Amino acid sequence: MQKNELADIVKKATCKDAEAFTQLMQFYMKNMYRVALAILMNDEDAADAIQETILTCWEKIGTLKEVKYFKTWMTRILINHCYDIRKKSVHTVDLQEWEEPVAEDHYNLEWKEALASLDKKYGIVLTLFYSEGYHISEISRMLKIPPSTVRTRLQRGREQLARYYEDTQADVRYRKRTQTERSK
Amino acid sequence: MEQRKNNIFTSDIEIPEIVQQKAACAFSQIRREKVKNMDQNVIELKPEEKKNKNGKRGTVLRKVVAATAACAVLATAVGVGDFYLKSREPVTESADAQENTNAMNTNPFVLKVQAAGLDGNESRELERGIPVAIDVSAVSWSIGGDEEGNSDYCINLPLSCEGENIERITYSINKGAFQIVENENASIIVSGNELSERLEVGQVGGHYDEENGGECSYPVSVKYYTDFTLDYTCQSSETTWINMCNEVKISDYNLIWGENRTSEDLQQGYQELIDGLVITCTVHFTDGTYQSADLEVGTVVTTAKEAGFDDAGDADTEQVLFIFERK
Repeated sequence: MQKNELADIVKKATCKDAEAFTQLMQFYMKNMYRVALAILMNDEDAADAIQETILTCWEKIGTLKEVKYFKTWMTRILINHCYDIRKKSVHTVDLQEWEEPVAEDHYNLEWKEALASLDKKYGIVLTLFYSEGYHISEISRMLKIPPSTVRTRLQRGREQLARYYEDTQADVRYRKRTQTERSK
Repeated sequence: MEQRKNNIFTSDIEIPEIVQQKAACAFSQIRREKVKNMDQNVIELKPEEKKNKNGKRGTVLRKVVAATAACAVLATAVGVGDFYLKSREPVTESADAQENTNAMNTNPFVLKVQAAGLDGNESRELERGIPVAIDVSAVSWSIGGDEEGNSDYCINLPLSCEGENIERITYSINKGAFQIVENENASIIVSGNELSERLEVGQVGGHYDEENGGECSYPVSVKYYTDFTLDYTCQSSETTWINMCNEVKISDYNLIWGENRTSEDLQQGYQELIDGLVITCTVHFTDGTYQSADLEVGTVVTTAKEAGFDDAGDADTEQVLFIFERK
């Protein structure tokens, strides 16, 4: 979608045009999903966060000051909802009461595995920086952490990811070698 | 490796179904709000009705149906034919409302309900603004309760969808759950979000096999879902019952079970059970798009004569029926 076209849709949405708003949120659905998954690590919670975000954005879209900041504004709302959901789900569960999730998570497995290899605080920073293209200063404001912390987390996140891929490659090489030895 | 690491953040991802479904629910809520604000045909309540009804839903419909004088007749919910509330004109949709409904896909689809009295697989289309009564015969619903007002309901839901290029249909519910009773070895449920615990409600469905000493001839499974998906080509089967159910505390046990209850009492009791209940039907098309429709569940007090259908019993006896209205 062209920038002008997008700006027009945002303007219409701020005037409570439901169709324009729906189109806008659909356009950003993948972005929202990536960010929500980076924080919550499962599709069900991510779906809840996105649902809440859509409703909140609709409720508050009249307060959006500048059309060009819509995505940033929406992402901030999403991040807050993600943190709320994460807070609610942090509780101690008796092992005897815990049940395995019924629905299987088949989507985007490689992406999820990569995220799972990282500390929680690095995943969201890497996602906002590399996937969503935000600057360090924007990420700093969104996550309410200093820019220096953003840079540190980016670096450490990259290092963790690099180790994850090295280990993954090593694992593959080990399996191949073992198979070769057994077949001799 | 650096390339692979960077690509993971920029590679395309697939939106899971659960995300699409929940997003669709949110959009549907927004559209409902939008249509409500634009609807010029909302009938204003008389002040005395507002006071009596305590702001409960279903009062608009109550007003439209020609009200009979309050009497001590016990309303019985019997198997009735489908009917329309003929005194009510369909709500005229504004152009915007129509556009909003079709925001995601222009393919039309119709929702149908199979009501009692229709033959075989015949169903009645659910049109916007025209409530349709669903079958509430003794075999398709169950309502229970105790003297403290702890109540529950389980009502059969014979819905279906028709349209072109439809791949799947998802139903979701905003209160309680769907109870799916079916042959364990022949499930038609493609996927769904199952409740982690069972609801304490009655069960509707499962064949009673007289020849088998009352036991069903196949293994029956009973599950509870907040939403579930069916294949378009397999929306029903003889051994599957799809019901809506919930546990609800009502204000007064006697509204439903009191010996001297009136039709209005019973309607209030039933209304408290299903107050605010909305079922959302999301149709997924083969091109990946989807469209949703909301069904509001309500109640109405009427007589067979008013409603225009033949009743083997007394045509003038007041009845309280559950109705669906597509928004």
